[in-house]
Amino acid sequence: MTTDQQERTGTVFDIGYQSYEGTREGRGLAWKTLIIDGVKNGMGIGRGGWAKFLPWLVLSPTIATGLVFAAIAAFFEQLGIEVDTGEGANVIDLPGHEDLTSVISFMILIFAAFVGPELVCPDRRNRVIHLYFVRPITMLDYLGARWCALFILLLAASLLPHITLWVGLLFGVADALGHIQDNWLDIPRFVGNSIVFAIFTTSITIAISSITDRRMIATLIIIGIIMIASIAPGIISIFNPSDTVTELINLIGLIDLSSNIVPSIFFDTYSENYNLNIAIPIVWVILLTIGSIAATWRFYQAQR
Amino acid sequence: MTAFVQPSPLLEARDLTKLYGNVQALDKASFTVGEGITGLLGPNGAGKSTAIRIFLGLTDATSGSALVMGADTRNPEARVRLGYMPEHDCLPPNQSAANFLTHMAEVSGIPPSRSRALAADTLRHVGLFEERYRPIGGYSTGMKQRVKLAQALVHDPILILLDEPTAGLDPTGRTEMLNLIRRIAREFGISVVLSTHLMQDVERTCDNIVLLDLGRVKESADVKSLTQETELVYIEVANNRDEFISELQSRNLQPTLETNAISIPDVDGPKFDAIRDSLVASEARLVRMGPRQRALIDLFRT
Ligand SMILES: Nc1ncnc2c1ncn2[C@@H]1O[C@H](COP(=O)(O)OP(=O)(O)OP(=O)(O)O)[C@@H](O)[C@H]1O
Ligand SMILES: [Mg+2]
Repeated sequence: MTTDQQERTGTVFDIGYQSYEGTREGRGLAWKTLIIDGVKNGMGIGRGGWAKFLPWLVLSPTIATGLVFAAIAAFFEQLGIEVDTGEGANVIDLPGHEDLTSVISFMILIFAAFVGPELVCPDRRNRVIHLYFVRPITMLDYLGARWCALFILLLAASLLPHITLWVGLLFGVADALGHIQDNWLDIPRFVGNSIVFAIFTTSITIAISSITDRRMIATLIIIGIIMIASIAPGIISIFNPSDTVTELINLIGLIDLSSNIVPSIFFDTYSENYNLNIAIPIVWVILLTIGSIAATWRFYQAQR
Repeated sequence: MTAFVQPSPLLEARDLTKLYGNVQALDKASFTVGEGITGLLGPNGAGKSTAIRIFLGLTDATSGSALVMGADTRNPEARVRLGYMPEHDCLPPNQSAANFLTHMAEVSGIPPSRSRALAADTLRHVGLFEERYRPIGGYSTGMKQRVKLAQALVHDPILILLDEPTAGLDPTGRTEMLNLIRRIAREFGISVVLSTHLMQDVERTCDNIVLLDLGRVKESADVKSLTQETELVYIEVANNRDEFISELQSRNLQPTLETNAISIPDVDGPKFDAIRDSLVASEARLVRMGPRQRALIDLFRT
């Protein structure tokens, strides 16, 4: 296009301003960009030092747990002991997907505490957020895309150990096909549980991260809230409340809620372990999620 | 500049009012912004940033209306061809300028296949081509100002709103920034709103001016007419000063005696002839005579 001019004037470097004539895409592209950017930031991609390693450091025990569970099953299989990882185990009750959920949920909460603030705090601290809101997007687009990015990360973090275990068991057991037939229900169960857990954890993490623009402080607050919420039921139990009250109070414990109570609903063991009406924990989780989203919205509106 | 068809202005404020608690940041401000460079001039707290933020949809007006190219500011589509350079820092320190601009272009809707090249081009135009892969955190103040300007330009806007772009720059940096802004308007064809509390910035750069004070519009016109309207001619004579003044008065020239010169307002062709005739008639000897444009600073006094 400009070659003529360049040859005439002999200056290759000074090509004048050319206005952009190409297409302009809508907010869909903005969402995509913000989600990809969020996932990259969360995993420390493109950043140096600690930021690169921390997410993996926090995440690796979850995958390791999946591997260990699979290895245990394979080990007993090698010994010739009949193995059943599903419910109603006959010989030895080996750890399965529900047990895996109880072990890794806590680790993923910690992972969320590190990664969540990374997605939203620096934008406010560096004030890049002002540049986002003058682009043709709304606050809903921005928060929605950041929410999706954290959701993707947390969903992946909780699915990865399960997939590891599931694939590991396939290799470990002698009758792979039979194993799939017996345990296929595990897949919708751990996927469903992971989705609910990721929605809930994403919403809470982002809401708490909205309080401050310092990401380390946000991380500490999140970990603190998780800890306090989990210790509180123990303290209250000193007063020997009735079973129903104890179960109700246990709902406050974020670790217990995400490690045991919610998974038991998905793995259909709720009625074995709890007396409280199943609707109560379900409504509670929905309320916590909606409340967190509403709080996030208010925080951002107020800071506008 | 003389268009026969009047297109809708780039920005239009009608009775724009903004209250922060009981602080009145804008008080029924009405003005329009057209093509070219418009200076939004006013002292600290005049409401410049508030007006800009309302046009960008960052904050809502308490009453009145703000239109961007005819569109309501609450509609995100109004910002497709708008750029903004805030007065404060707004850059991520650990990203490179190239990556940051690419990202911002995409958020504005430029497809990924084009955004990288557009980012590099824009950085070249603001003079940061060589440094574009370095993290922004290591840039000097002047370089950061240029990245801020570049991100406002990267999606090829029709209008950019620059909030105090010369703040914090040394005289050389300021001149460079103002030259760049002029180039953006003249060569790139992008209109500019330039907010500043410095008269010289406006005099050196702007075609039009909106003068704000305490949230009210005190003047809104093109810079030339403002300075021409208030043109004064200063005359110093060696002798017969009183006779000269009375000759001027008899010719209705409204002379004013200042410290050692006589000033005459609104001088045009015929008045120059009258001044010459007065000199001849009073036999005063002319020492010095010259037109002096009244600086825009005088506008603040009225
Ligand atoms: N978020 C806010 N909350 C309360 N008051 C505000 C807020 N923003 C601006 N103001 C007040 O509104 C008035 C106008 O402020 P604005 O920032 O628009 O002025 P400005 O012309 O940009 O001044 P400056 O040259 O200092 O940037 C000031 O009195 C300011 O204190
Ligand atoms: Mg300001």
